[in-house]
Amino acid sequence: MKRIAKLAAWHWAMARKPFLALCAVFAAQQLALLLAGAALQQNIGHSCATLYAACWQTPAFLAGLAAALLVASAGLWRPGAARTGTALLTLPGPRWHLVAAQSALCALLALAFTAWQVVLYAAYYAPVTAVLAATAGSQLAAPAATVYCAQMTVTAAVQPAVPATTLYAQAALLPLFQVLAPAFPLGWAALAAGFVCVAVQSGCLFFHRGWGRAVSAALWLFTCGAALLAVYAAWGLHKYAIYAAALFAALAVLAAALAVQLAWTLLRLRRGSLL
Amino acid sequence: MKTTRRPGRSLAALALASAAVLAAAAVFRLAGRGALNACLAEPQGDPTALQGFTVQGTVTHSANALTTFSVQDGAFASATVLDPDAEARRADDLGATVSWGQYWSVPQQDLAAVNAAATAEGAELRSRAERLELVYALYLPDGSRVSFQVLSYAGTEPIPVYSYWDGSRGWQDWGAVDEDALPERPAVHYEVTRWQGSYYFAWMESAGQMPAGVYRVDEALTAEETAALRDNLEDGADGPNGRASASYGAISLLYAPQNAARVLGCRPAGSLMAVLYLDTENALRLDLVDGDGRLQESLLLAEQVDTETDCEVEPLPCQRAGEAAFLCPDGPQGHYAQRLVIVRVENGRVTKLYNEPYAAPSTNLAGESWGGELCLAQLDDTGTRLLLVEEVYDVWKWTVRGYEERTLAGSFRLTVQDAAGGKPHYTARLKTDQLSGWGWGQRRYTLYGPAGALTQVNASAYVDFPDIAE
Repeated sequence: MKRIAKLAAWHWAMARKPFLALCAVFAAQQLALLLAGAALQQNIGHSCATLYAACWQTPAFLAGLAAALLVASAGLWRPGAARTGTALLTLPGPRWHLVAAQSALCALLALAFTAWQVVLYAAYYAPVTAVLAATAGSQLAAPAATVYCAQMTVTAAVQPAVPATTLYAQAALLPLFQVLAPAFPLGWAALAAGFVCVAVQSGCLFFHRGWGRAVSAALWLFTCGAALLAVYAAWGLHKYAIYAAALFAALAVLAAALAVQLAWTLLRLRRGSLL
Repeated sequence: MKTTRRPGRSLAALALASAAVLAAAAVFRLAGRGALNACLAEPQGDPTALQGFTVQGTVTHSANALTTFSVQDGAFASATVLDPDAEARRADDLGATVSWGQYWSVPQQDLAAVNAAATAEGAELRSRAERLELVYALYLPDGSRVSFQVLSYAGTEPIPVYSYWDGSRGWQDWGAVDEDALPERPAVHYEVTRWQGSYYFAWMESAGQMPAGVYRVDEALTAEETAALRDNLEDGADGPNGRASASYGAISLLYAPQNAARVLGCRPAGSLMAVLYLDTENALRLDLVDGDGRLQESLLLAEQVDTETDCEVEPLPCQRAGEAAFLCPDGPQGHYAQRLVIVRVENGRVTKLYNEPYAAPSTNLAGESWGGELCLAQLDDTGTRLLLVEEVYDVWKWTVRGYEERTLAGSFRLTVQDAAGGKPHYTARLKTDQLSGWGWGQRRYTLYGPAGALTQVNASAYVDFPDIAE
């Protein structure tokens, strides 16, 4: 275990800068898009949560998460990776430790990136809400004196205040937040299963070269899709008592893909033909 | 640098910080769910006036939460469940909608002859039928359905019919080429009510073999049973086989009021069924019948009703045992005039009757009002006070790109007043959506993923006042 932790820390030393750069870029694009979106007239009435969706931040988060998983293996694909690989293979101890350490780091950076998104959302809530309110306030029209609908009558000259919202409400409304913090055990189980499988697949990815890496990447993508399906199927099973078959199928696919990837990677590591 | 020399330490710190943030987020979501509860805001008057009323409602939030609220023994209570499961959503399902399917089709016994005479015209089959029958399918809130024949029509000449091939379902049922030449399809109410273990529905106007009245669903099939029935019909069939328009299940007439021009609705009131209808002289009447369809009492509610309006009746939710409430057309004062009728039955007799004109709320707690809607009306235990729950809207006006736009946010106004009228004893705004449901951004629909997980946001919440008393 200690060796695995040391190996993970060693890889982290090489992945830290790219990871921090990724976090910075992600934070900057999110802030820029949300603030720019909040200032647009066409977005009047949006809340922080709806604006997040309207600015494509859910796919942006998923893309960032995938990037974080790849960045975790920076030591294996940055310039000089061949030297790193040679050094890794000459280390004493079982080879599976290499995969375990890399997978652990992938999992950790994915968790860190997710936590970073949570922190960002909380930090951006106030400025984005302020800009939204300012945009809405500037466009509130004077009350109409004539009302054309037979069922509507004007009874006050003052428009009601734009309702205040809260961070909790805007977080609760965010689908991403609901998926990442489910309130039912099956949701957590599916999330954890998908997460672990994707992390291990990511950990194995860069131990391959050439066509092997392409096949490994295909398995990785396949696993990402199955993990998403497992999370959705868990929701369906919980909410509507259906999709049990889809959940079991997704979990079976995850397990099979994981077994293939692990066996293949460990076999090649044992032969020392990697990197 | 120190961190470079000891990467393990910074990695451990990162792990701890990430875990702490995610754990805090999960706890935050769970612990803060009370923020989604419904509440009574801006109360005015004496809150003890709520004593003697029973109100229950559910709010389905797009935050994947289900809130229930109630007024019981004068106290207001609300609770929220996050990510409600199928069991928790059962309360919400009580408000499930009713839908109808309507088909002109060739009777089963004529199918062979019509199929034999069919000729192909492009991708269609054309033929002629001696008669057609009109079949209605009623889809009930519990997912079951019943299908029955409404009328049969035989023209002076054979009726041209057509069918087309659906790749997944085979030949579609024969349909009339010119439906305008057929009798008009009878209109239907989109309300059913549950009473003594069965579903009942009001049939608006007499048509064919079905007199206007109240019908009981004696036998309804589940979706699986219906599918099996249709699969059996498909076996060995060549050409349209009438599977979509097949009759199944059973209904029976409970009660057909004499001189009924139009049956407006039905609602259970304890041991009796309240049947609201317009007679042939446009008088609004309420008949109360027992489970065998025997008339127990007949009440005249209004001498003359304005039939220029659409005569739509809103049967209000049954939330007090033995009490039925309707929002009826009134007149002849003019369009949109409405009359609120509440009848209470105890021991098989009518003990209370509230029958007064009702005016939709014309004022709002702030801003302008947009035609409020009555959602619930109830008499208290003594029958001297009236509770009204009305949906009202806040309206904002915007000028965007030169166009004036209005956006609405709904809430409910709860009012307790004397049944005889006068100043309210108590009013409050029943706030069910704490998620700021307003503005353009809220107009978009809630979009669900393949398994019901939200993929798009809509801040508006769906509020339902279910029937809880038969």
